[in-house]
Amino acid sequence: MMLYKITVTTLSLVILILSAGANGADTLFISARLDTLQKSVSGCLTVALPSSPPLTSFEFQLFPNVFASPETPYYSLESNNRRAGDSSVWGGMTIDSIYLNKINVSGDLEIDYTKGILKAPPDRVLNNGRLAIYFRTAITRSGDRLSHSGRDYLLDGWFPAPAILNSDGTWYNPYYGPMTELVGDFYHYDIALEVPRGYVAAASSMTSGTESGGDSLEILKYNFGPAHDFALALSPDFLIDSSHLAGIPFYIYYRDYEQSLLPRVRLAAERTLEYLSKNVGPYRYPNLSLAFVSSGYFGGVEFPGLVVVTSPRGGPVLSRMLEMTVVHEITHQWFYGMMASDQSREPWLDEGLTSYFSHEIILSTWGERANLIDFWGLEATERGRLRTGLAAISQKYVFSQPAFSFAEPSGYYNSVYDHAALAMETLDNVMGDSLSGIFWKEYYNRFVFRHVSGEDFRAALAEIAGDNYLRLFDKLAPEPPRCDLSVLRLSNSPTDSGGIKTLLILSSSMILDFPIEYRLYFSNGDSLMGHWEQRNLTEELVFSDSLPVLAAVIDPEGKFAVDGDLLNNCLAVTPDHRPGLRLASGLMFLIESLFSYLGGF
Amino acid sequence: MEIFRHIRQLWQSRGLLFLIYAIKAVAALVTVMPIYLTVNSLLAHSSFSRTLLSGWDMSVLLEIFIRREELLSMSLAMVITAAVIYLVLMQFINGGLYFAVVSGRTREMEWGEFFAECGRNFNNHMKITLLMLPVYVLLFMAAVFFVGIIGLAGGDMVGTPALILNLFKVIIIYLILLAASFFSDSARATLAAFPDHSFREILKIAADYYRPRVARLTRLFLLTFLPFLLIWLIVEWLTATIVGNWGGTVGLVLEFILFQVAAYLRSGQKLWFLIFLGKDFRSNREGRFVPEQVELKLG
Repeated sequence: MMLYKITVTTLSLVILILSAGANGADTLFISARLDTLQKSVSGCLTVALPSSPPLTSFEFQLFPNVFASPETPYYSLESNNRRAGDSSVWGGMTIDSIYLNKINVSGDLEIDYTKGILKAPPDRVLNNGRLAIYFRTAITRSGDRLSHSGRDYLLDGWFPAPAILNSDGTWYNPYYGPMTELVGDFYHYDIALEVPRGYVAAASSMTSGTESGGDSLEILKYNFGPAHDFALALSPDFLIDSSHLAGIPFYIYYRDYEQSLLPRVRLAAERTLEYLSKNVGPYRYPNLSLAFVSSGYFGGVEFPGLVVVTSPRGGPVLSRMLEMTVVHEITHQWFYGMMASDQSREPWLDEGLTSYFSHEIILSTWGERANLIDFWGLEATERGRLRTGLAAISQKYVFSQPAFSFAEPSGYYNSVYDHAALAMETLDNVMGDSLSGIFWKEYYNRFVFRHVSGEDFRAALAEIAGDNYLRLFDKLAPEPPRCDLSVLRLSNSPTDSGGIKTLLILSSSMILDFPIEYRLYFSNGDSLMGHWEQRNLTEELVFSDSLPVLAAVIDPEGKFAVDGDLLNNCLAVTPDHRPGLRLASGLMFLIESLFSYLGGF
Repeated sequence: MEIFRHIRQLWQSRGLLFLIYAIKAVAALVTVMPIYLTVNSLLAHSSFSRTLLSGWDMSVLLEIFIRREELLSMSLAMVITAAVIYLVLMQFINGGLYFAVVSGRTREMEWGEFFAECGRNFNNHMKITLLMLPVYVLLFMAAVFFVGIIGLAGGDMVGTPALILNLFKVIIIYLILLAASFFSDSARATLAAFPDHSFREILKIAADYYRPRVARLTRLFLLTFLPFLLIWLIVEWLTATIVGNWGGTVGLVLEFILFQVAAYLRSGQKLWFLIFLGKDFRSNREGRFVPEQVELKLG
């Protein structure tokens, strides 16, 4: 029995050590205090530097410096700058001192915007050193992920996070230009944060304990990881709703006036957790929290183990935009959280994949029709929203370009979110359920708690699915959307033998390397599915049958979601004027109503 | 109720009512026709558009605008142009219309006389419109500011309570603009009764009539407006649910008829109110509508 216990203990230790090594995650110790009077967080971060590779420098990130003034690269786009203009007090991080093995080395520290660089003395390395960084972060009102609003706080990027260590001992310290988000390496977090008593904190994990910090303060302790970030949303007004969704402890932090939204949030969260656990891989954080925040922007922000959603305060919440935001931000727990990527250089790997899976979850939960708006006969879908982005996309952008290289936010959202999502949907549809299931599960197994690059994705696609799928992806990804499938012509003519000869001309704006489905509808109500083995951009197909073909549809199941024009996918021999007439009838009444209020009658 | 006594007179004025409705309907039809021709050429051969037969599927509209990007700006330009033309045309019609309601001769008035009055007062009706436009804009801005303050007080709401609060805000804005529109009606009625007075005098008489009656006029307008609002909501519900579910040609025709009934009744509602206003104005400011003096020959 004793031997059994020793064996189990030893094996557990071995597994623990190996798994820690696999994740490469060391521990960040942070002890800090939130000062609600000064609107700041100050404290000390301690980290042990690894024994290899040789380190001639140590780099860390001062993310709050993106909010240091309206002239930072982060605010360089006009629309971001307008938002920055709301602020009267600017944010930023100052480093009071930095110690290496208890020796003050602040004189060797260089700071450039968000990059902190500590260089080792000549002929020395920093390996195995223990660093202590004393910092003070000023929180601005206009900061998106590091901000305060009234008595509420959103803290992300609030401590000096180490940059990402490359295998050759150099550091990758991301550039935070416009449209970028915080990028970090995987660590375990051991945090003690002192906050005013009465504050309720939604964080990446639940507290591992609390201590009194005197009459008016409380120390919140957290142990969390591996993760590439640790964030908190704090408010004295938060109430907590706890539940278990898909076997995962789920907490909603809300204000009393948001209580009516809880069932909607729980449903969206549950479906997301179920779908992704089943089709991609299990959720690996101990719990998930969602907090409603008051902010100047609309939408949500994702952090490992925590998502925040802008409160729809004052809004009637008639559409499913709230549910869509919840689904999107929770999906990020997979594509950003557990499978990290460099948002500043390859944003499509988290936003594009997240938008694609969000759409799939919305389809499986609320159906294909009216899944976004269903109000008094007015219907709108998430696919329609994505296609609006696809239609509005500028030809100068591709979704695989860095976030900071977009010249306007709309270009970023249309390309990285919408075009990438539809391209992924196309790829997935062509793969089919079986291969797609295998691909995403293997993708998860390979990259969980690791950083994925675009090249990693392409390599995985070629290896797991096949080279032909990689070729399809390469056609859809780098090019601005120009895919258009259409039925150019459909005609029937009698043959000498008394039958009917049908002429069908199909067209595609690019060679897609995969057979394209089409469906023919006959006069007796029957239909027939065919496959166009594409050799040319336009092809003429001739059929002989006893019945005429009344209509033909190319890609009837909409597998090629990036198709730029869906109206020309179908061609009917006999025109049906009713849809046009109904539209005209409605529009006429709309104009009459407008005229009534304008002219009084 | 005083206002309900005028329903009979409204029925007797159905010729005038039809004219007002027909102008609106024709203007809307002319505006829609080119849009329909363009849209129909895209939709008629495409089975993708069939969802439009059972609901207002935004994805079909979206595909139309993806295919014909210029259609949105073209449609907008056409609607704005048509709205301006309609507004000007109504200033012409207002001449005859206000003459008819203030004189109380909505039934027996000859069309020749009607159009003569239209032409006679066109300039002054246009002036009233141009005067009122900036007033409406300023009042709208003030009303939005005012309801914004209400919004601050009741901001901690989401869902249905927030919907009700927003509807309340819209009603307040509407009531403020509505009250202003009664001054426009008063000025037009004055113009009908005192066509030879200067524009300044007309505004003065209108203001004297309007000031003590604004609350009453608002009350009476709302009394006539509520039945119409109810009918409009029923039409919207019918078309969105029953007709939408039917789809097909029957649903399409039924929906068109219901829409036009609602449009016709909206014109009727305003005429109903104006018949009351005209009579009330005449009883207070006769102007040229003083009953004809008859010389009695006694002995």
